[in-house]
Amino acid sequence: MFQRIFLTFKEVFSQRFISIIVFFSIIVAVFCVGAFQIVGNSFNYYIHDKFATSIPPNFIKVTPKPAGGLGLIQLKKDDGSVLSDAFLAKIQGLPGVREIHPYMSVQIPVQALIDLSKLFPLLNIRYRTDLVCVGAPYSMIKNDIQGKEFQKKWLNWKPGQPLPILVPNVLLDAYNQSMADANGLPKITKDLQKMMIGAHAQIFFGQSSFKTIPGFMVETGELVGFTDNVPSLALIIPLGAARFYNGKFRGQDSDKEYIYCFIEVKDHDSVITVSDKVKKWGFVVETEKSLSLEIQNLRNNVNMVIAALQWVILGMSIIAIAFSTVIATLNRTEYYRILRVLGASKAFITFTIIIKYALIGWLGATLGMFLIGNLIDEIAKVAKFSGFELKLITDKGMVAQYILSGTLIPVFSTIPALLKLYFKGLNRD
Amino acid sequence: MLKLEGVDKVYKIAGKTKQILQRVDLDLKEGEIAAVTGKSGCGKTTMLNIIAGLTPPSHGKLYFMGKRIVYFLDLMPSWIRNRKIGFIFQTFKLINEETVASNILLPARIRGHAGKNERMRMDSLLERLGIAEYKNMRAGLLSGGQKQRVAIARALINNPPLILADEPTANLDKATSLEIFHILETLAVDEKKAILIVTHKDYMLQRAERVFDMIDGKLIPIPKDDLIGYFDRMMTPIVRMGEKSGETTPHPGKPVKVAGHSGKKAGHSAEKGEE
Repeated sequence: MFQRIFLTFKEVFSQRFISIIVFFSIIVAVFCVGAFQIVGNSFNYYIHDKFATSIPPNFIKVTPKPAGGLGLIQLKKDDGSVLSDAFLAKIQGLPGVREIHPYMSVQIPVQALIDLSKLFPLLNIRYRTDLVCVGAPYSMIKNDIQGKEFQKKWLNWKPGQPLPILVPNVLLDAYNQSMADANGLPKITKDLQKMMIGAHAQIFFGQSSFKTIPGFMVETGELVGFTDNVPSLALIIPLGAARFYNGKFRGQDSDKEYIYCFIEVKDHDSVITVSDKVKKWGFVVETEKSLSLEIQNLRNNVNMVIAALQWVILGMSIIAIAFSTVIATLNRTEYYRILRVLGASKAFITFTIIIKYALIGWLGATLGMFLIGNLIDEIAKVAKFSGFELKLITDKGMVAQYILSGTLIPVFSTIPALLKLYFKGLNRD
Repeated sequence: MLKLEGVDKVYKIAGKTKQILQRVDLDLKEGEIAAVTGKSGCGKTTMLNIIAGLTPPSHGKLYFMGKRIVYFLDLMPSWIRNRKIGFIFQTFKLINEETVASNILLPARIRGHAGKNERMRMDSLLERLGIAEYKNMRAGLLSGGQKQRVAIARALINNPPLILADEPTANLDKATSLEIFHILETLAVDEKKAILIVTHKDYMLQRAERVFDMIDGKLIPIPKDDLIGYFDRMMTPIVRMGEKSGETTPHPGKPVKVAGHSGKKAGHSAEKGEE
């Protein structure tokens, strides 16, 4: 076995010049295609951030329709007025649905006591305000939580522990534009936002200016970041925490009812089919189509140009790699014939060639991804796009897809040479 | 040890079928040297390739040590070729960029065993073939005779019972050719190896235990005691004119004249080209 591995490695290190060409072609292809992908993703993000509702592509926002009733008496029916766990399970069963991200409001009085004296020592302000709290799924806000430590705290929150809280930027804007000036309070700037991360506040669950529920709880909230992903005038807390407080103070399945949810679907076609189905059940459905047609066209055209450039780079790389691998393989026909005459099977010879190019491709693709991870920020700094930020979104699926493609391209490029070798070249002594 | 029964080989060339071998029968025993001669393109190398499992026969059966060779997926022939057959070529087929030792150990590496025992066997073969001093030299730097010795050592590293030699001395001078043939003879006698040799050299045909002539894909046995007469009868009138330059056997004591069988004009001449 060791000797066969030795022969395989000998093959890997043969024809180093051509191997280096293939290796660098893969690095350049992966880096360029990946960089264009990042530009495309960042552009889409920018469009959604600036021009669209907060609904990302291939997501559907589902909200219960307002319950019918008279005044304070509301009639709850199973006609889309309640978004419950049972309905979520029903939605999950639809074809094309990948994941559901539900949001739950805390349906009890909530008040916060914020000590601003640490930020503004001269002012000595302690600010108390009634609030609304919304529990959000980790999957939707994880990129807004500052640091892995806070992400862990969010994911593993248990009653009794400090409560991680996110502040939506819309809430901050509302404070800055009306509350701060009206009450003579300092505005919270971008720099101050950074300083506020990790700050503590007291949060009273079950107590507000209007009502106090017996047994109300005083928790320590810890600010873990700011978010654009939940456009609510509410404090954002872990979904599990919202369930806990609703269950504790409200009971009656209130820990299983949601204010809205995002359905993540597999593709654009699923957006249509799933939306239609959920609409029929009586829910209010919103999709990314709330973008204006002009903006959609602009986005689609830019995406098309980016995709075309990616294909051009990919195509040129494949041609360069294919020529290199075919020439390299056919140049070694005499060596492979000697191996075969000495008892190596065709399968073994083919295997060593495939392993050689798979290894070169894998190394090149990994290095290409590494360069993307480390160079994009530097490129963004040099390029200085106005109002447009290059965002490196670390997606394990994308990384795996790129590395797999980088590995397979040189392998598939060798197929013509392998076929020629297998059916002709190796059949003579 | 090796048995061929009614082996045919048909190639399709440019849409036309060409029969290379026609009902070839052969039975080779342990320790026996058999020689095959014949015109270029008559099918000698094809026959060796079929025996080595490099190409399957179109029809017929092939038995090796009593077992029928199955060509499915190339696995059984490769296994046999690696462990049971040593192949020696006119063009040596060494990897010139690698050392002598690396070349010799290659079949052992393919087998998956190139440890202490194989290295000891290699050293002993190098000693025996008189090329021990070149062990760490690149094969490309050796002379033709030295290269053929390396090729023989490589063919013997896995200790195969059958040696196939395809014009092993065609590229060598007479003295070196003699030495190489002597090595092969010794192998047959000392180690009981069966040797099937394709050659045009008269002294080899003389010393082989059995001789075959391949004519248009048919393997025709030649009686040893009528070797000279057989080739005499096979000669064309034009070839007869070149008789004067006839050749004698190189071994002392028993001069043999094989009129017209050697020399470039002869039909069964020592041509260097492969079939």
